[in-house]
Amino acid sequence: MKRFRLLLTGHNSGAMNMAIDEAVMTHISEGKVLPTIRLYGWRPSAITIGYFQSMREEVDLEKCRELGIDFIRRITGGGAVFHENEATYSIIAPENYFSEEILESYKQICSGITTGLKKLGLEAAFAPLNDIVVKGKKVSGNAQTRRMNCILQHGTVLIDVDVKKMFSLLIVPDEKIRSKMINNVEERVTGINKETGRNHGFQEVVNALTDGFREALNLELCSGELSPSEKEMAERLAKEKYSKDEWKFKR
Amino acid sequence: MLKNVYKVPDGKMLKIALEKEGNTIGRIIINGDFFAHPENCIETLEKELVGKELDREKLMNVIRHIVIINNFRIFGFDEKNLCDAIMGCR
Repeated sequence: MKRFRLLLTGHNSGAMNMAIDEAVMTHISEGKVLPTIRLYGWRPSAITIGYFQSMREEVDLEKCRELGIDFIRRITGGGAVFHENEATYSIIAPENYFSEEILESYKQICSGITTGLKKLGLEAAFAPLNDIVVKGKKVSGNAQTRRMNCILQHGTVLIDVDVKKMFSLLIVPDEKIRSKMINNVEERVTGINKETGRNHGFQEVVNALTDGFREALNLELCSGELSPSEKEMAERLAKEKYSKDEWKFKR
Repeated sequence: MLKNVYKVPDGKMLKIALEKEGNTIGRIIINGDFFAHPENCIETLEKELVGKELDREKLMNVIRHIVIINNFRIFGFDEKNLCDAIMGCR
């Protein structure tokens, strides 16, 4: 059984959410804090893009500004994600806690999510490379990076999906394609509420995921908080890195 | 700047921007929703590809070589897909 810190950071801005992940990873790599599972949400709602995406090519910045939605670059690869009604997790640990093989490590970590979703009554399955599906529809997307001898995987578990809103915030090749893309994504993506026919709260999903990780990864979870030094670093990174155009528009 | 948006069959999206110098690569940007470890490997690829001839076979060997000697791990496209995406820039 491995000891992990359980970190519940509530809802934060996009910049702060990404900054907390990086601050925690830095502190874990220096052996200053326990490996960590963090559960959180986004306020305001946010679009994150993958590390290799171009902000201007992917995101309708004017629309985001108009609706007060953050737009942020992740340090992980993958695609653009609209974070609204969802529970988000990060798992951060020394690299040797999980398989060296990237696909295998996705599978290991995602088993925590599928186990958590089963607690909500859903038959969820890992769909390589980085998705989790319920009845063939994506309910969770995940992304991983390895830096500073640590593994960081974060991902989203959709509670409710507003595909129309999501596409209003993304750049599409032309308007004719927009409705086609919306239909396509509505067929391929789902949320927990739609699948269970119930109305799950953020905290309920967070609790289910916490139990899922504990069970599937055989963890001893110790409730904790950000250390003062992590907090200070996160605040600095949010302000000086993730909020800055230099990072947002890096590609 | 020439461009190509290339959906990799059973893979991710590649968005290439290319500046030609004669029949070689003058400058290239490789964007997309793929995964690459370590992340700076794409910047390395972009730098290493400058000056390389725009010839499918040669380019494929160059990309394969860069990926292997640096032990890059890329998910969502392979050297053939990247080559197709580059050669398809218009």
